[in-house]
Parts: sequence; C-alpha cells; structure tokens
Amino acid sequence: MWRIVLLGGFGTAFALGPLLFSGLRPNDYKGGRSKSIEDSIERNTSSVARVLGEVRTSMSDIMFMKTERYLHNGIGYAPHLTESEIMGDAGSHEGTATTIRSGDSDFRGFVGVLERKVKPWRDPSLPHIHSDGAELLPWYRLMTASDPNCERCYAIGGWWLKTHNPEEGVKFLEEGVANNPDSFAIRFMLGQVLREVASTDATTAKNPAETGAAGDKLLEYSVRARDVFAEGAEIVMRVRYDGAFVENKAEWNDHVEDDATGVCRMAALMEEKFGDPVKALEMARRYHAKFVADRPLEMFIERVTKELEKAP
Amino acid sequence: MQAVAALPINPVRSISLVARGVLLETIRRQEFYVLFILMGVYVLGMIVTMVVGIENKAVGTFLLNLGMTMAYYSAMVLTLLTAARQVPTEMENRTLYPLLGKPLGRGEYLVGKWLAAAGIGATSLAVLMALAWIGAPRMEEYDAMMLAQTMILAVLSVSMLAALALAFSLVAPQAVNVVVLGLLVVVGDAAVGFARARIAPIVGPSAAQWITAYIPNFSILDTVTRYTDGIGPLDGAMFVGLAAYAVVYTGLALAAGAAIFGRRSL
Repeated sequence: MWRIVLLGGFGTAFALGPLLFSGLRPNDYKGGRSKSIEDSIERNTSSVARVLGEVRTSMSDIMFMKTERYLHNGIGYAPHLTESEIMGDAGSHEGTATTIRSGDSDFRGFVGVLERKVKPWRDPSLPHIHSDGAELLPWYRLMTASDPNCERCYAIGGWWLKTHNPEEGVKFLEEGVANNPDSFAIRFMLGQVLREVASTDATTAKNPAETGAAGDKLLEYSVRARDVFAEGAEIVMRVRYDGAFVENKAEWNDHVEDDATGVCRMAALMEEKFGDPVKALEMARRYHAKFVADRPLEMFIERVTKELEKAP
Repeated sequence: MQAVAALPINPVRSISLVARGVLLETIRRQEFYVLFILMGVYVLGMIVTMVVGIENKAVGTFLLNLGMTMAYYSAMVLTLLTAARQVPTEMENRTLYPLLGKPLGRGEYLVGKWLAAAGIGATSLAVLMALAWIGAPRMEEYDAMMLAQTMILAVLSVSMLAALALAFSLVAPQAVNVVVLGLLVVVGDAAVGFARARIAPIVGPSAAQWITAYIPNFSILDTVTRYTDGIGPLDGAMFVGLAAYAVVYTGLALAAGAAIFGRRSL
C-alpha cells in the first residue's frame, strides 16, 4: 500500500515536473568572475593557463575556436584581429604568423618541411583565404545546443547561416532570442538579417508601397526588423550604464558598445521608415540621452527635426 | 509443540544491515582510494603552485573552481559505479537469493543499497571538497551561505544519482547504465539541448521543451561555479525548488525500483 502511495505521489510530481521545475536556473546569472574579461586576461597570462592549454575553456569556447580554424581551411594562424586590420581590408591579413613556422624561421629541418606538406599550411606573407562558411555551420549548431546562452554563437552563427539560407538564419536567430530574452546583440543581428532577406528576396520591390507578393514580403520583413530593433534598444536602455563609454568596464567592451549603439540607431531609423517619424524622433532623443557622444544619432535627430518642421 | 512466534521485523535494522554490507564491500574493494590518489595529485599540484607563487586572484579562483569541480565529479563517479553494480553483481554471484530468503523485504533491500551508495558518495564528496577547498588559495571573497548551499545540493545530486543508478540497474545492463548516467552527469545539459534542437522541428518548440524537461538534469544541482564566481546565495524559493527536484527524482527512482524489483522473478 505504501509503495503504491509513494509511487503515485512521486509519479505525479514527476509528471508535473516541466511546470514545477522549469524556472530552476541557478546558473543563469549576469556577471561573475568566470565571465569577466579582466579576470580572463589575468588567467590566460598565468603559468597555470599555459600548462592547461585549451582545457581551461568551456566546450562552447573550444568549438568557437574550431570555427576559426575551419574558416581558414584548416590553417592555424596566430590571433590576428587588430584595430588596423578592422579598418583595412579584413580579408587580407598578410603577414599574420601561422602556428606552424615558415621555412625561414623553422630550425627543425626536414621535420618542418614534412609538417608544412602534411598539414594545412600557407605562407604567412600571403593573404588569407576564407572558406565560404558552410563547414562552420554545424559547429554553431553544436555550440548553441550545448550552451543556449552563448549570445556570440547565435549572433555569428546566424550571420554565417544567412549567407547560405537566409530563412534558416532568421529561424536560428529567433531561437537565440527565445533562449536569451535579455540579449540585444542577437536582436541586432536578427534585425540586420531580416533587412537583408527583405532586400535580396524582393528583388523587384524596392519600395514598400509597391503592390504584389514581393512588396508585401519586403514590408513584412521590414516591419519585423523594426520591431526587433526596438526590442533590442529597450534592453539597451535598461542594462547599459549611464555616462560615457568606459573601455573594458567589466563585460561592457567596445564590441558590446558597438552593438548597443547600432541597435539603437537602427531602431530609430526603421521606425522613421516603416512607422511614425515623430515616434522615431522621440526614440532617438531618448537613446541620445544615454549615448551622448553618438554623432549618427545626433545627425538623425537634426535631419528628422528639420523634415518634420518642413512637413505640412 | 509450541509454535514459535515470528520475530518482529525491524525495517530500520534490515536497511542498516544491508547498507553496512555495501560499505564494508566498498572499503574492501578499495575503489575510492583511486579517487583519493587523484585528489592527492591535485593537492600536490596546489602545494607546488603555492610555492612557485600564484600570480593573481583570478588564477587562485580558477584553481579553487578546478579543485571543487574535480571533487564533485569524482564523488559522482564513485557513487555511480557503486550503485550500478550492486544488484547485477549480487545476481551474478548468486548472493542475492539467500539474502532475500531472510526476513528482508525487497524494498528494504533496495533502500539499504541506496542509503549505502548515497552515503559513500556524500562522505567522499565531503572529504574531497574539503581537500580542494583547503588546498586551494582563496584570494577573493566567497559567500559562506553559497558554499553551504553548494554542498547540500551536491549531496542531493549524489543521492539522486545513486537512486537512478539502482533503478536502471534493474532494467538495463550495467555497462549501459553507467554510460548513460555518466553522460547525463557530464554533458547532460548539452545533450538535452541538442536533443531539444533535433526534435523541435518535428514536435514544435514547446513540446520539445516539455519532453526534454523530464530528462534528469544534474547540472542545475552543480553550483560550484556560481560559488567561485562570488555570486550571492540562492533565494529560498530557488533552493527549496532545487532540493525538491532532487527529492522527486530520488523518490520516484526508489519507488519505481522497488515496484519493479518486487514483481521481478529471480
């Protein structure tokens, strides 16, 4: 009798488990030393980190590093994204050292020659050749499956996926938004992908006022992009600290600041084009109060203000 | 001839006798010495690191997290191996039959085995965690309440694993039992996420979320990184919820195991 009662009781609780226990996420928190960029830099320069190598990172970070290798068709390069390379032609990167030494600096003789022939290798003085990204896609799927809170994985994976199948890219990023409701970075990427899908799919429709299926789709995707950017901008308003950008302030680095300003600018711009210009102006002024030094927002406010004054 | 009155059966005594047998056998097998040796290597590494010098607080925190994580997974491995082999080994060696011939209920037998496996796991967890915590440099502030919650949830996690391993050992081969539960412990979160991503296009995202929520998730009971990250303690509702989660799975596994074992012909 007791056995039946216990089995029934625990069985009922188990059956209702998805309702009772779905909110239990003790490891979903913002901040923390393991996610701090400053702590990460300190750890990575220590002797312990050099001994442990890649093992010290998480599985999703290891997979992310793999995508870098796949992007370069298997050739291992030293970390090479510098400010000058961002401003210049990002596809070239001549002169970046490879992890396998080149012949003129390799003391290993025939062993070095053999390694350069057997393993993927390219003369570091030559420009990089990037793959089309198809081989990276399964890694992003695995990364986000193993860590649904990896915002960077969703954002960059979505960007690569849209070059091969834009509709799938949209679905992937929408999954990212569902798993990361507080992420403006994924929303920023989703909005951009929606805009790109709209403009490339409706090749004959450039104006949302055009009638027909192409025009309807352009409008539908553009309005979705507008709403997504607006959601992202609201999150930025909530989470971004007041005052000017402070470099390397905890987790808010320059890439995060770029995404934050980008989503706010796009929210105002898309509201002006596919919504209400007056509302767009209000939004821009609100965002500018947070990003006081942002010149594009200033220019947007000046332009829209003049246009609204001229309008009948 | 005067009828001999049946002696009253004390379930607590029966259970404790079964548990004691498992404990003695585990000590005799000396399995846990291997884990202590592994942790000893870690402690030795800590001593060497301290002599060489810890460069900064971030490294100290990393080493603390590494040690506590190793301690947690070592205790889980020991618990899994202990619990998974109990019933199959006794059936193979034919020692189960005379045992059940005694006035010992099958449910009592199972609970005794669970108590011993969970007790061994909890004891080794406490000792290994103490080794890791004492051996690592603590150069930053860590919340004491969070440490207490981490330990309690780890003990509950060990108990849940022991119950599940015992229950599965009644229906699955030992190797399959160890591999499946071992994978759930180590990569459960990722595996569940991957399964959800695969079935979502077929059944829809909500149904996929619901179905995969039934898979035992040990990672939510592992708050070591939250502790070393310096995050504050869990609020009452979250902590009680997590404890209830472990209790429900433990209770269900034991109740189902007792029901299966009770009906199984040996």
